[in-house]
Amino acid sequence: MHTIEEIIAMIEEVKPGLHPAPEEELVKSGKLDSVDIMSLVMALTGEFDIEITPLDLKEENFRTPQAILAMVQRLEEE
Amino acid sequence: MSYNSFMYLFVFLVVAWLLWAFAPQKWRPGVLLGASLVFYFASTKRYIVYILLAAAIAWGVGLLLGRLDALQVDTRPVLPPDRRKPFKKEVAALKKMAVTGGVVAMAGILLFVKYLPFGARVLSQLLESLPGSPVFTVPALVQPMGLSFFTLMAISYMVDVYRGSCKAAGQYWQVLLFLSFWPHVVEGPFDRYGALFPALLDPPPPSYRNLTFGIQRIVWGLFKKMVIADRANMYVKATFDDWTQYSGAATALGVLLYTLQLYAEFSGCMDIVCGSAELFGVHPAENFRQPFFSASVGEFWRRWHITLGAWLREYVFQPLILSKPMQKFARLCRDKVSPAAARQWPVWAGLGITWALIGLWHGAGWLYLLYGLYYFALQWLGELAEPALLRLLPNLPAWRRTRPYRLWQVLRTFVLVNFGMLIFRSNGVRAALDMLRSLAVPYEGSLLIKLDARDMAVLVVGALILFGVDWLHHRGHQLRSELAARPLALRWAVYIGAVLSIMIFGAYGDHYDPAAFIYAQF
Repeated sequence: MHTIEEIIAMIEEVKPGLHPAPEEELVKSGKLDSVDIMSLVMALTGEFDIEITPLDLKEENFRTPQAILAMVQRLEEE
Repeated sequence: MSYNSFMYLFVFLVVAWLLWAFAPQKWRPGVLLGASLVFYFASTKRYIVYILLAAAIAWGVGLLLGRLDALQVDTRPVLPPDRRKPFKKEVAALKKMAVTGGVVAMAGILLFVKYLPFGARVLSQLLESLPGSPVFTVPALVQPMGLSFFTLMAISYMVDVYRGSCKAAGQYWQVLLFLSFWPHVVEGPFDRYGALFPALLDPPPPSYRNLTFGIQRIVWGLFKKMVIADRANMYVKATFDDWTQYSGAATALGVLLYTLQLYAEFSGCMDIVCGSAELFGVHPAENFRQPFFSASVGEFWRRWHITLGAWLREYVFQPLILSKPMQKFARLCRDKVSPAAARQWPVWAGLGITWALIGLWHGAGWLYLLYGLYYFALQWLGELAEPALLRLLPNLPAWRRTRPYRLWQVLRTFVLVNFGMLIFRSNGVRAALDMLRSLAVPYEGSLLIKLDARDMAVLVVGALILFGVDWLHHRGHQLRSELAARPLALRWAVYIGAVLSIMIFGAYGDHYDPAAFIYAQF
């Protein structure tokens, strides 16, 4: 079971200077752009045993750290 | 048939709208298809066969994918439990084969027509050092109008059906209407079937609002094209085509005016085509969102030619990063270098390939490749420098939230974009380098090149209006809706003023040399 702290630590590594709260909006606000999201995807697939497909790259899955955690947990269950 | 021609605006559009408006609702998609084919045939004659073929391939692949999905839904539940998983895998493999075949066929047509001569030239240059090496020459093929646009839209349709994000079209004419729809077939935007087709198939009834809003937007587009872009073209043509004659301020002004020309022209064309579609109750995707208020080149490209960037992001960049070879590369980076490299290097590789493709999409040549890689270099260097900058300037994140810093970022982005425009418009890589060097050489002559003081004054006022409107949109104003709420006399004064300004200040007639729409050539 992964934690929100792990997800936030990954976001901080991908985007130096960003320290998001669990429910902080990341995509519409421009805090993460498409390059950051793909770096985050590489970090997630490298660290956790999950496979992310183009269909998972929806805004709603990356909207907040909490949404990213929910996606990771869903993909682990599949 | 050019979008700013008398024939298009006063004959084609009027006849098409009357036929559409007075046709029964169920015939309206047919009227749109007929009008689109007439428009396309009038411009390309026998080359219409390319778009007919593209629609046939996309429709056939979509149909096959839809049938495979239906087969899975109908057959899987009645299979014995041990056969269900293998059956799902078999269907998935067949779907992958179908979509790959369709994409390869469409990309093959584009590569063959647009890039074969360039490819042959590159191959000859690579082999020329070998003794007795062959020289490959391929005559340039006629590129049918809008090939680079409808091919990519056909690919997006097939991939969307494959991914399940839109339903396959049941009839051939539906895909043909989507691809050939005249407002987006020449210069885009790259629409998505799932987003656009419902309005083509079942449009809202003709309305006063759609008619007036559509005409307003067409007039605004004509203002940008005829008052600003075609006037700036005179100066731009002189300074870029005879680049050795100019330097310093003359060259810099040429570059600035080209940026203004391209923006006014391309966004003006989008206004004309979106306004045209709005007359028929259809709203194509927007291609511009005040790009010159961007704080970085990455943001600029999310607000300039938005649908091309979105297309490449969704159908090239993301699948490329998630592909098996790239995942393998990431594992190699993790094992041999570091977790940070595993996270970054595949993304940078994907970014480089995507930027190279953005450059080459604009044309087959080294110059366009350089144009794409210029933006890749800027974005990559920005990513590399960010951690060091944050260490050096710990207050940077706080500064970035201040207005003066944002202004500095916008100005910096504007300058960097202008260097990109210099590369893009120049007559080859050598000319681009010459022009870059010549910027440092003072220019002694008059800056009124091919344009007189009146023309310059019109350009300055036109640019102020253009960026003023952009600024208001940037601040959240909905100008057309706000104008519609004003008294009748004021509204009509604005409309008549806009039409008169095009008639009086439009750059047409013997003295001017109006340019063809630039993006129609890509």
